[in-house]
Amino acid sequence: MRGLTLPGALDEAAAGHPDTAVTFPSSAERVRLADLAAATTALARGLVADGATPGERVGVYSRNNADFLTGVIGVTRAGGAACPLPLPTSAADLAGYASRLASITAAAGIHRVVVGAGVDGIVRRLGPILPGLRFRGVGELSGAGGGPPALPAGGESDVAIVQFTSGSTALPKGVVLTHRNVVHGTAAIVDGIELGRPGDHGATWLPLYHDMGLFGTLSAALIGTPMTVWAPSTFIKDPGAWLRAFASMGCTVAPSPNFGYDALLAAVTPEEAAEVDLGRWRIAFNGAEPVNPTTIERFQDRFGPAGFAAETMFPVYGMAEATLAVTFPPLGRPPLTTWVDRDRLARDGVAQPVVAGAPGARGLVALGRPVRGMRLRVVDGQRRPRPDGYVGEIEISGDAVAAGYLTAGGAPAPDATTASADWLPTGDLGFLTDGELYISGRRKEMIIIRGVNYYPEDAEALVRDAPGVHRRRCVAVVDAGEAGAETLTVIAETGLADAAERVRLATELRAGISAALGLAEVSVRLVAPDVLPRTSSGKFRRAEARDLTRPAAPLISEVRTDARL
Amino acid sequence: MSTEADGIVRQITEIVAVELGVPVDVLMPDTDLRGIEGADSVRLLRVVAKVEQTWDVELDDDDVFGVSSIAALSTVVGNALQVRAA
Repeated sequence: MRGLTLPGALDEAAAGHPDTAVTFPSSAERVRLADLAAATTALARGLVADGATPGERVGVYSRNNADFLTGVIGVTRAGGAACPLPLPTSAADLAGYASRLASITAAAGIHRVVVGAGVDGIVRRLGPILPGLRFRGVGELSGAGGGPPALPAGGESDVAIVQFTSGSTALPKGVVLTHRNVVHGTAAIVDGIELGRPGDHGATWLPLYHDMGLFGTLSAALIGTPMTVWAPSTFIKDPGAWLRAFASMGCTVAPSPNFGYDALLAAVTPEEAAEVDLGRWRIAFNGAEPVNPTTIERFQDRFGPAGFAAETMFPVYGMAEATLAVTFPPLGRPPLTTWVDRDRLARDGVAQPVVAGAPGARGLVALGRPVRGMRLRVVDGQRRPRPDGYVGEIEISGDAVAAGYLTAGGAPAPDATTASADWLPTGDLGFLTDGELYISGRRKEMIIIRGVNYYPEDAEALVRDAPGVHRRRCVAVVDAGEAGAETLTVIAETGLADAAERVRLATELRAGISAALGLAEVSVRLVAPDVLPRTSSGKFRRAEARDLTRPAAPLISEVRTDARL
Repeated sequence: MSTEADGIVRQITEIVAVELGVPVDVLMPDTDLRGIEGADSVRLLRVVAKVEQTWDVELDDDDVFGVSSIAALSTVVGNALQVRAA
């Protein structure tokens, strides 16, 4: 039986498989599970000696290296709740990034941050901007020495991890996960893909601060299956080299959002693909953003000759709130795309099957059935179950499902819905057919790009006060393209008439949003004063404003001023 | 491969144009690259990768973070070349 807490599960894996290792090629580290367990104990002692208290939420700030896992599990061993903090991306600027960190740490009530190796430069720059945080190195805390203080005995219902993947910058939401959630969630992943078969070897290049990177890695490590973790930049800079390394190490399981498969298609020619042996790749999770049927088809055409089996591509549905996995396809089944009438789906919420590729057909990829211990239902606006083939909001329930969120103010927000039979509404829209889940859209105003959630209100806050914007009037809306790719469009009112000035304003607004949010998929549309539809109380009507972004919108007098350079 | 400041700027401009899919002549040394449509963190990291290959240097993530223009990236490359030459 596995331990009932995160450190307990690690101890059990380390006892059973002391020499199994987690390998980090980007930092040239290889850590045996026995040594990882010992490192988490040393860190936990250092944290307690440093004054960390049971239940304290401690930030973990680290690259994809051994210190990350030591940090997260060490914090929980000290009785604390680990909050993985996002690292900056190359498209963000310091001010926007620091303000996101500030709002996360404020919401979580974090004042202590455990820092891994290799981020000294950025921590030095963040220090003065975030004076309320004490940054302490993993090495520094672990080597503090002194008499070993007793470690608090954590229970399975204590909070283990607070995962900040949802919520806007202005109002971040931390998903509160208990030890029970983590143990059940990782066990469900193991069960769903029979992880731990002879020869299995997990791999990931996703950031460990992202739920898919973290829980994927823990799933393998906690059952004593070898795991290899690359830095995200290793993959992004040279996807082909990553694929060759992945194959030559004999890795069998790797996750990626859909864009990672597109990146491999762009980077590896058919000739190069044929020279790689992908015959051992057993599971290619495709999740964390909409799954594109075209990507799946092209990936199979390109990498099939390299030994990539059709059933290896594994489109899934999951989220931090579920400690990752919600639905998995049946093992051994190639991806299944169902074609439905686009208009009926959008207008009536009915999944009307049509011939593949017919005009007006929309291809949706089947995401499988609930994983072990997970329950799922599709409900209407009154939360009544919808029949098969009818779109509704997806709700989930189970031992791996988070009890609630942590929001500004610090206290766990009692979820309004847990009172009614423990169903957690996901905000995602979809339908069930033959017991399998399909996602068709989203109820909440948010877009997901490269596995990261972005919120329109953050873009509005950035644009509202810009010079040239008429009376702070702007609305940001989200839209999905043909293939499910999502974009954010900001519509701002302006009195500027000069074409060059309008282009300059649109460009500036776009650059500002891009830099602050680290998001490139932004267009800016300028409209004349008083064009944006508002309610009688002055609030913008987002749904009607969205129509202004469509090409067919009756806005003949308006010049479209997308900021294209 | 150029190691003179002007040459570095010119060559990075060409790399940026190819990676971001824009004509060279819209790119000024101080153009905010994040203002270019499609210039997401993935593409900007590709620019960095090409720059690293071209000059055979390794740029630290910390150095590249917050760099948003060709001029700033050229400075980072120039510094890396100086470190190597020293």
